[in-house]
Amino acid sequence: MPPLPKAAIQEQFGTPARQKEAATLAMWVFLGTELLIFSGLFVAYGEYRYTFPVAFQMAGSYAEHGLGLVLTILLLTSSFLATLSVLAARQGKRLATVGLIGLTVALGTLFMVLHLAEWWHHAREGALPGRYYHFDKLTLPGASLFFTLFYLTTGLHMLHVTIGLALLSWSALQALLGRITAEYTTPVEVTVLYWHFVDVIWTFIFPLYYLLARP
Amino acid sequence: MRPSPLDEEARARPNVELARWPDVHYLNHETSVRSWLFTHDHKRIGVMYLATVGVFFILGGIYALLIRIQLLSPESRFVSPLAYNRLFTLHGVTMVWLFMIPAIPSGLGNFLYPLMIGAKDVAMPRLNLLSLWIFWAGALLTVIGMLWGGADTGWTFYTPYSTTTSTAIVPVLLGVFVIGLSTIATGLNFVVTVHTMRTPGLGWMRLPLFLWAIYGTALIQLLATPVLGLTVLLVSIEHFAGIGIFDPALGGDPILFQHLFWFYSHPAVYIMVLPAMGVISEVVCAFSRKNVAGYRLIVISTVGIAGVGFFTWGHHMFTSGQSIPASGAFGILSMFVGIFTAIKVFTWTYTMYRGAISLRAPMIYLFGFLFLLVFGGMTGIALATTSLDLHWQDTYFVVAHFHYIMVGSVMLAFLAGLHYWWPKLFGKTYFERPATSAAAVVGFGFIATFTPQFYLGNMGMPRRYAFYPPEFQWLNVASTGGATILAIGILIATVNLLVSLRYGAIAGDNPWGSGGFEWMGTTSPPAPHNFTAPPQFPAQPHDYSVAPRRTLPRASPP
Amino acid sequence: MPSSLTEFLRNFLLLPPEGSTFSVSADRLHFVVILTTFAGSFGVFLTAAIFIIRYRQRDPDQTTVHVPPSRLLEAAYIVLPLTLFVIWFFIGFRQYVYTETPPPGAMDVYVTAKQWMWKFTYPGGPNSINTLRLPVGRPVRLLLTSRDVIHSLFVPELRLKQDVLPGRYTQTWFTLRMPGRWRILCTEYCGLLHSEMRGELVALDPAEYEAWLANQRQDLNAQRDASASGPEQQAHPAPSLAEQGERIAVAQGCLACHSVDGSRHIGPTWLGLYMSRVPLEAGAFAIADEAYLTESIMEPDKKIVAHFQPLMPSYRGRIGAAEVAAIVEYIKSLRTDEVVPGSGQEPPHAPLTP
Repeated sequence: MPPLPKAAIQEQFGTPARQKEAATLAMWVFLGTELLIFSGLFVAYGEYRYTFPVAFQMAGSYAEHGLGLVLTILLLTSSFLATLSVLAARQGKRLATVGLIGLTVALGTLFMVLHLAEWWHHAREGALPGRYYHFDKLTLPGASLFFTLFYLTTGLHMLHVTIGLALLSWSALQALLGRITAEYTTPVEVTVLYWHFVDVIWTFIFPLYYLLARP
Repeated sequence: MRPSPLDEEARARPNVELARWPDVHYLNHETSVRSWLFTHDHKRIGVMYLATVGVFFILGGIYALLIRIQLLSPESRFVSPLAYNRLFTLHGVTMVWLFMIPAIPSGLGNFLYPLMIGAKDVAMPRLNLLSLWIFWAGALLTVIGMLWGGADTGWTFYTPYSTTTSTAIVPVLLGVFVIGLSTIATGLNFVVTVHTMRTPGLGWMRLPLFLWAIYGTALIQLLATPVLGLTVLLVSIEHFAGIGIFDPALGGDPILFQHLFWFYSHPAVYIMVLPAMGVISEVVCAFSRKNVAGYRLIVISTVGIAGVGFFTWGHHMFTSGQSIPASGAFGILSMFVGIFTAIKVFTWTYTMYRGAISLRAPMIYLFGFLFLLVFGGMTGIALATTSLDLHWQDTYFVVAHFHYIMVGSVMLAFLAGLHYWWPKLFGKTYFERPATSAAAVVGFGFIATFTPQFYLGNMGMPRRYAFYPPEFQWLNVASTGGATILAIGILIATVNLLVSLRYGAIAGDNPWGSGGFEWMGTTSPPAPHNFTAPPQFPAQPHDYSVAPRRTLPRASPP
Repeated sequence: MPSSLTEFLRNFLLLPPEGSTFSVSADRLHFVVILTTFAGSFGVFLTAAIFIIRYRQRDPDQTTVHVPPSRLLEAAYIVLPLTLFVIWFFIGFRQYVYTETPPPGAMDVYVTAKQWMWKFTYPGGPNSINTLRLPVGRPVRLLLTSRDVIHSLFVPELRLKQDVLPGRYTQTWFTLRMPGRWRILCTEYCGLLHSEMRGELVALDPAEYEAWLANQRQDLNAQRDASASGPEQQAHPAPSLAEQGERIAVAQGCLACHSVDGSRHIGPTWLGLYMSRVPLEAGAFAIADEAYLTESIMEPDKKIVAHFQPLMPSYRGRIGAAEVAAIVEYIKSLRTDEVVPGSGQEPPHAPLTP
């Protein structure tokens, strides 16, 4: 077995297998905490939807359904490519790994750009949070809350997308520099796991803010 | 400690030897400031946490004394109402987030955890260091908030007051947020460590109970703190941007804040209490020289508190306009979480049965702990009896209840643990007489401070009152008198510990002859990487059927 | 429990006099729980003390045998406390449900909390600041709302408190047991003068209460007699605040300019007005909450709705605060299906008198 890259073994672990186990467990536990942060916002959505059903339904109809679909496809595809990159890494294919991660990052970046454009569009129409809300087409009480929660939730999500893109870029760099081998794929694996989580959160955001609407 | 003729005892008993000071240990092998600030050593990180929380404990205590001075008379002009409102807010914020939550898990826990499982360090030492830095950053933010006048909302930050107040709430909230990140990182580290770094052969049901307690705490930290993070972030955003998520004028619901806040803050009290219980599990065994009576029960209770504790938060909201079924559900679940504590108390008492009990300072603290935890815990059960809470909610009864737990139980356990593990941390023994006297003074001072507050609650004195109706005065004066005694006791205990660093006797590997795993295979203070070879732990911790190795402290050379 | 024992315990525990019928039942449960608390804590403490003495260490290397815990004892110390806790819970919960369900025929009083004062309004009757006069022996329901932040109304003698929330009504009820003057205290921190936000509950014999009420209404009627609506009010007492508000709106001439069916008239319509976003002149907006509606009645020139003329006269001094509240209630009741006003549910606040 070829020797592991020098940075790979941490002194406190007995074996590389144990180190990998620790890193993977750490990422799963961390994702649990992230899930709880988003949960608070979903709970708020649930309460206000219950309180203002009509306003929320009508607000949902002003969401950009087509764009939402595109964003979803972008993220799901990027997750698929990310999984392929892990497989490539496990097979020791350095360039394939870097390329696939690169594509993932590209799709993720496109997601960000389109999403920010959507925010700009809503802002121009006056659908801003709280006391700045002046969206004339929808003045029911509770409508501003829909958009407030939309910005908060998708904003938090975009923050996580940004972190994910940074982590993916870093692991692509690691792969490029030859620090990822078939025996040591941990950085790529945990990063892709994080990216999958970001994707899963989007699959909850998408129906709540784009699909549950009265046309 | 004045030992009997040392050499004779050491020669006569095979398990006893004279204390030796290790040449190289974690404190002296590198001494630059850089080696401390950039260390990966869990022991140094633990000590730095202890120093930090110690400073903030004093700050929080000063706030408390100022509050008690104000409350000496009904219309006191000692401080202005605005200053008073800031004082009780900052007292709460400091004590909860800058002292109680990190003290035992990040302080003692960091130090002991790897020692107890036979590991050289935690699973992610760099994350551990980052955790400390983040803690310092959050503390700094909070202090900046304090210097700008500090918040005046109470540590509970209820909306809409917190979203509309003009005081410096945002730095304090963001400070809490950042400290929360540190808590999550520490919890993450502990969970991964115990899962992946136990020495070969050390199964879950052989782990020291302190570890189980810290593990339970870590689980709570991981699951509850993110919700706090979100909540303080939302309040901050609403405060400076008016987004309206908690503002009724914009359709928001202030009660949503309460649900989100208490969803974290009730488990938070278990973050504070569980480690204290872990300390007590260790201390009762070491100072009764007996294995715990019911290891499995303690484990189940620990996990039970951690789990069920997540579903009881609405008992802080019985008078908030919450629905009847919700109050019912939260009330009955609160009864269940209470039973786990009762089980632990009975088990610890049972452990003392047919033991060999020595009344050293840690044991005195334990003795006080037992009484105060039962009393405080049962007043918690009383509060969960929903109809009774209608009278007591937001009065001094609640203040007394949680101080009985937070100070009477957690702080006493912390002091017990500090005294017990002081020789292992620093290689010196503390002076026993001042320590036991201090423990007694702390116990009496505590009771004198907080028992009057139960009565004040019964009489109907509300919380957070800078001025109060005159019929409440005599009990307030009694409480302030008690607080002074309590402060003196804590001062004596602290000074005694600190003085022992220089003038205490050399402790040796195991001055208590304790059967705890952390005393085996390590020197006092421990070596930089803890063990030179994987330690051989006995089948169970605290097995006193055979006397463990013990070292005889001897006076340090002049 | 014999009453001498309960009196002794009440005094020993420094509980105030039992001012409401609920206080009596709550105190009984309190005594049982607290006595058990004392017994439990001292019991554990004494047991530990006995063990410390009996099993004290004789030698620093003393060995001990592992005592396997008695399963029976373990079961006992799990089952017995749990049974007690659950029993207490059910008794307490039943009492709690009792305090949350006002009986039919309860007399209503509206409470408005505001930094840092209490306002009490009797339907059809006077309103008062900080003093709440009530009759002994009759169930009273308080309907509470706040103008700003969360407050909480607490009377220790009643053993009751209820948080007061902005944007919705909460309720509590009680029956007073004896005459007295007791403190009303705010028990939810609400800012600078939270500790000075106090009131007084004056419990009066029914006859005294009726006399006071009649006296107050006489004065009010004297005021109203000066305006055209006086006799009408006396002849037909209104059952609900909203209905009262409708009568006042008719009598005061509001409906001459404001419609209630959505049609635009001299002034903006009241249908769907409450909690809607009202466009004002110069591009500003306001939310039509209680504060806005009150201001529009008292100082109509402060906020002119866009595309309307500033024609409305002020009603300051022409109608009292209670009548303003009634009109506001009436406006709130004018909803369409499209609009869901306020936040959360408003508990029904029509009186329960059949």
